[in-house]
Amino acid sequence: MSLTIGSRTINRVLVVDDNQAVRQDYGYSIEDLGLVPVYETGPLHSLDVSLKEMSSKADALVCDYHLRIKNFSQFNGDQLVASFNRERFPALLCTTYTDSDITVMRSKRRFIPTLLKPATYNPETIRLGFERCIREGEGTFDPSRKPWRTLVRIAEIEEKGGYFYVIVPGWNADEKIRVYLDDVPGELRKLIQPSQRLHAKVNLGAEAPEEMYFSDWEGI
Amino acid sequence: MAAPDGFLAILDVGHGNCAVLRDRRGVVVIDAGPGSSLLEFLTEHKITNVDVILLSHADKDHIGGVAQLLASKTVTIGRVCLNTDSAKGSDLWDDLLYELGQAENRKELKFDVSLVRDDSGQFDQGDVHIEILGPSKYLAGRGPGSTDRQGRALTSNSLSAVIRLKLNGTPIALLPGDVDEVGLDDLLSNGLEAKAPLLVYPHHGGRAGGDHKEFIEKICRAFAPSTVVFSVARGRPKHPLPTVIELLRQNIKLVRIVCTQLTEHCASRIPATIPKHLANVFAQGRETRSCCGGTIVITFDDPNNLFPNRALHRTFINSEAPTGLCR
Repeated sequence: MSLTIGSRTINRVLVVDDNQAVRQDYGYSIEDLGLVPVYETGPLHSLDVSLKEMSSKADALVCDYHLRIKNFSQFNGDQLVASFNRERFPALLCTTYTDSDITVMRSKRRFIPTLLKPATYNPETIRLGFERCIREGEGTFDPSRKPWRTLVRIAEIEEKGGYFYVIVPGWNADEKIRVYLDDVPGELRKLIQPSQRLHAKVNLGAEAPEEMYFSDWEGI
Repeated sequence: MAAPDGFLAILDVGHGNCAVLRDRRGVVVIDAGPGSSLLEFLTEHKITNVDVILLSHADKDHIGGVAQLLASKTVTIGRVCLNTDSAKGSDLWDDLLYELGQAENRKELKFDVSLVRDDSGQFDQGDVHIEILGPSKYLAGRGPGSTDRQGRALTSNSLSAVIRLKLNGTPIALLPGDVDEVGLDDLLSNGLEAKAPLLVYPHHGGRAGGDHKEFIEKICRAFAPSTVVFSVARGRPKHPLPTVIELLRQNIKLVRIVCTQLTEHCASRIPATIPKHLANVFAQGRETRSCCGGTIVITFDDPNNLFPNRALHRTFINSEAPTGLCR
């Protein structure tokens, strides 16, 4: 069997995780969807080489975030998944995560359409996840994922941690969202001062702060 | 429902207010709750110019969506009108004034810090007359943080613009922002006739200050609506208050209640599938299957025919809202 979404057909799904048991678990749900799991046992090469090698092994990808464990990889799953989706190769990130992980992932969330937790990983969410990846690759966003240019106000800065907090008044004026300084283009970093306002593209339909991403930063 | 030429849409924006009026000559937006719903709706209807934005008052659930409309490069705005709120002092209020000031400096729009009774008729774009029933100049002049003639405190809510829409002379809807008893008394003391068949209930059906029962009785007498809309969000179960619904039904027999989203009061679980009764336009809760009435639409070719259809909506409530407040 295969899964056809728009003009794309998915037969084989590459499963990337450093843990063999987890890979197997993820594979079962892929089989339940009528697809063929292909297992990446690592260690992985550089990101560029991995992209090239993996894309020839399957039609889509499911990947864990924590790949650096035991030298399985030199990069984490968010980089891999975002890179694949940039290339319009459907890729899902499935992982447990902390608040810090979310901040790290935020700069790549524009190209991580679907972030699943293991508890919500099942054939239906996999199918919906791949559908979303393919639609976004074609420029069609769900309302919760669509980027809109809006005002962003800097709330506070944690120089030591290398991050700052922003408020997006048009989303929720009471919620501070943590962003890494490195996520802002170099020429704009001098503008990252408390109370400073900038413009950025933000998915204003997001339901929760962990879903939010920022791109296309602009000084005012 | 196909996209008609002229319509009033009361958008499901979650917890917040927003209405879009499209008339023969232009588009008017009344309040802009936070999130992307307004932009989604405008994009869906290929609306690239909003002639006027009227902001009832300075609360975030009524103005939060203006920032992205101003920042949007897909929609131009002609004019924005709101009442000043010196008591607000919130960063959000400052954000809005900042963006409006910037846009006006770039000569992209006109920005007026006044929206009072005398402004009726200034914003009309065709067949719909836009009446500003309140606040009076006196109340707006006193401003939030002050008191009215009876010594009662004036808040942002007291200063809410109360807007009535009349199609070819006949009232079709009343959008009173979050008007409270003080604002309502200001309106009624001037002897204004303010009836309308559809009312977007102030403050999302929460407490509006003062005597709750008396306030609802006054609302029912003054506006005499046959349909009452609550702009509410699933996940915010305090709105609308059960007593508000109960008192409305005591005061107006056969009143139709329409909540934009299905609150936990009415159903502990969301429907298993996307409901079929909703108007075929953007609604914030559609993706998460959180809609009850969703976005509510009145078309000007048949203003008595409100979407979602009453019978279909009732069927949905009967099957999906076992503890529905409106059952």
